[in-house]
Amino acid sequence: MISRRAWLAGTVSIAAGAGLVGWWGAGSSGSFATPSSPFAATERQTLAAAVERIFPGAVELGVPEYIDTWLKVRPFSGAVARGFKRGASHLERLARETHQAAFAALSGEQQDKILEQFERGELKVPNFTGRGFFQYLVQFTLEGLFSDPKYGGNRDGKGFELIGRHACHWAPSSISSRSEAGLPY
Amino acid sequence: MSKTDEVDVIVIGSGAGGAPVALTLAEAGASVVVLEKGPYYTLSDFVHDEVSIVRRDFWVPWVEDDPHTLRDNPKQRATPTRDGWTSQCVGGATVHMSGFFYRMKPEDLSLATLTGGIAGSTVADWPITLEELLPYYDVMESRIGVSGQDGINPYEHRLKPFPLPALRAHPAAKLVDEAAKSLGLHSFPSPRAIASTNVGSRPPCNLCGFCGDYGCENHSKSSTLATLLPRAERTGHCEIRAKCMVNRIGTDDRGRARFVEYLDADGRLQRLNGRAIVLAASAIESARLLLLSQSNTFPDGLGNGSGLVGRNLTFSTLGKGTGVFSRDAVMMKVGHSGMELPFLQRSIQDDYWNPELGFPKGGTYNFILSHPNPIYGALRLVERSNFSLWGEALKTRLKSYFHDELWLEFEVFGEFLPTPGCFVDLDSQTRDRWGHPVARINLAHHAASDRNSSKMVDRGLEVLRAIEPAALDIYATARAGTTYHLQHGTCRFGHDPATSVLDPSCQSHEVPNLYVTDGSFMPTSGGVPATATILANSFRVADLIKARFLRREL
Repeated sequence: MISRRAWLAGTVSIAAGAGLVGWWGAGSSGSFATPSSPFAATERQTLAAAVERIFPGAVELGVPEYIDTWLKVRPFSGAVARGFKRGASHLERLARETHQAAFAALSGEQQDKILEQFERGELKVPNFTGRGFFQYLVQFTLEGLFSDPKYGGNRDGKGFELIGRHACHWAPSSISSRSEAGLPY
Repeated sequence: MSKTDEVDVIVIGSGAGGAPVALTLAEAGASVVVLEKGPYYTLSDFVHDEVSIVRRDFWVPWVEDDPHTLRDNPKQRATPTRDGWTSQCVGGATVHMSGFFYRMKPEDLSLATLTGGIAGSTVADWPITLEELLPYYDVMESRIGVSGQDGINPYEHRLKPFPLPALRAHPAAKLVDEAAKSLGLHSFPSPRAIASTNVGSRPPCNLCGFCGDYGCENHSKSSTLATLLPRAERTGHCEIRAKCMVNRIGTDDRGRARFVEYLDADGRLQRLNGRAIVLAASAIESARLLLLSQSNTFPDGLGNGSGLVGRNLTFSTLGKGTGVFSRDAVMMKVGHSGMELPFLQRSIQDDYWNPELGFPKGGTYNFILSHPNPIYGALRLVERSNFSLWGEALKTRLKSYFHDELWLEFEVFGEFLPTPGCFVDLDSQTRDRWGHPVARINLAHHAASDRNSSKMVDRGLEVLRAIEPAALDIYATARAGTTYHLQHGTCRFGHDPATSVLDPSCQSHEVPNLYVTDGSFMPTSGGVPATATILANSFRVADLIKARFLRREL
């Protein structure tokens, strides 16, 4: 388990690992995945390219939609969503500086070289921790691969197929009863 | 029952501490209201949604709304945390427990006498003997349904056989048995609060493996939600009020516990009178509620004349180790039958009391297969690589983890010695969304507990190393951590009002008709998870309250 890591340096510390933050009781009935994204089109494109390098096939399995779903809601819609936007803009900036092209347009190897700078904590910019962003990106990618498909990831249960899990292991259900989970007082 | 009515017994909390009292008293004809802070889930709510349940901590409150605060250095300001909550729902933490149901041993109850006292620890004997508890363990086991195998654990104290046969174990259990035997240790099938056969209308476990953290959609896990509470409701004398949060316990002019004030599901302040009030909101939250229930008569909190409410907080020390084995190699050794089963189901208690440890009090080894949670599984590989594992390498590694490997693990439940530095008090600097000071956890570990936990991890790793076929990898994942949801001791029971909060019947020394029946009463943590003991003790206390009720003494 990861312990606590500050990843937006000096601004906020977020518990990661065994459950991120808070009791999730928000939302309405039906699927949680909606078409809207908290990201601008270019940001989303960059992030999708990045998660595809973290796990080949992630885009096909719906990881970007999974990230959209969660970065719109508590507790991620604030600092974490801002961190992802900053992360996307730094990925894009490094791509332009090094290769004069969009991150999403680079070759896989070129993208990996840039991502490695985040992974190893080599990126030194104020108010942002590249390594923290990278770790969040990996966590959300893994969640999006193997989550209940209702969140937009693990499309059609294909992520489970990849690891040989059968239906008993995930018991799909409607979210409607869960929306009442929050204490209404 | 109208909400302004008076009832015989008010129970605060519906988990292991509260439900046995509610059932026993309702069956005796007493009117009972159970006030539960969380919602009332039904079976269809229990799904294997790892993101919601595990990654977003479904069972506990938002840290922004309703935190605890935690510090391990008295000079620091405590910071908000989710640690130390048990789940908030009807059934409490028994809903999502793994259900390892070991009993206490005589050593747990007389640690002060056996050791002659421990420097730096506030260790105390229990005011009751194991003989007094044993019949109630049997009652508890038969009323909720506990499975296990008789006569195989040389360290087990019991009067009656297990009501249910042991759950079917993964064939690799044989490897643990052989390894343990080669080291002179005695492995035995872990007792579980899980139905292994039909129990009334409850079906046997479907062996899905999603016990820990999850509600059981099959009703096979013996939570109070699946067992005691529906029976209490069927008596017609027990009402469970969900989403009701108690703010305060009040007394009458004779200083007896008399009423509670709570916020109901619609956020309205309600008052309910009761002839007895049974508090079972978890060791941390029960202590907090007593401290919040200040009055002119009880300026330091209800029943806190001794100043001991919140003191002597203990958890369970946490040690963990993992062995990665080739699934094929294991299968060649044990055969393919049952290779898909989720439970390893083996425990060892040879180090429960072992002078070779130095300080002789150890605990329990629980050998398990890794949890089937896929995200947890994937993430642990990545974290072990320090996040250098990604791309094609991650994809290959994940396939191997899920298809080719078998992860045998153990966890250590170790004695967590009480110390003056480990306690709960009110944090005047942090308030919950309703304006009440939150519970501040002041954490301190005793060096002897930590040393033993770490030694036990080494010994557990030895067992893994003794397994044939040899492991591909063996490593410790925790040495002397804190299991926060196993919490005890904040209202310890004893004979002397100067050194304990509760009397041996778990009634407040100072406030007649106020009982505390969660883990708060325990002067020591014991070397097992305490859930079975909390339930058994609650049945014991329930009998005492029932006798008073029937004599019209309440």
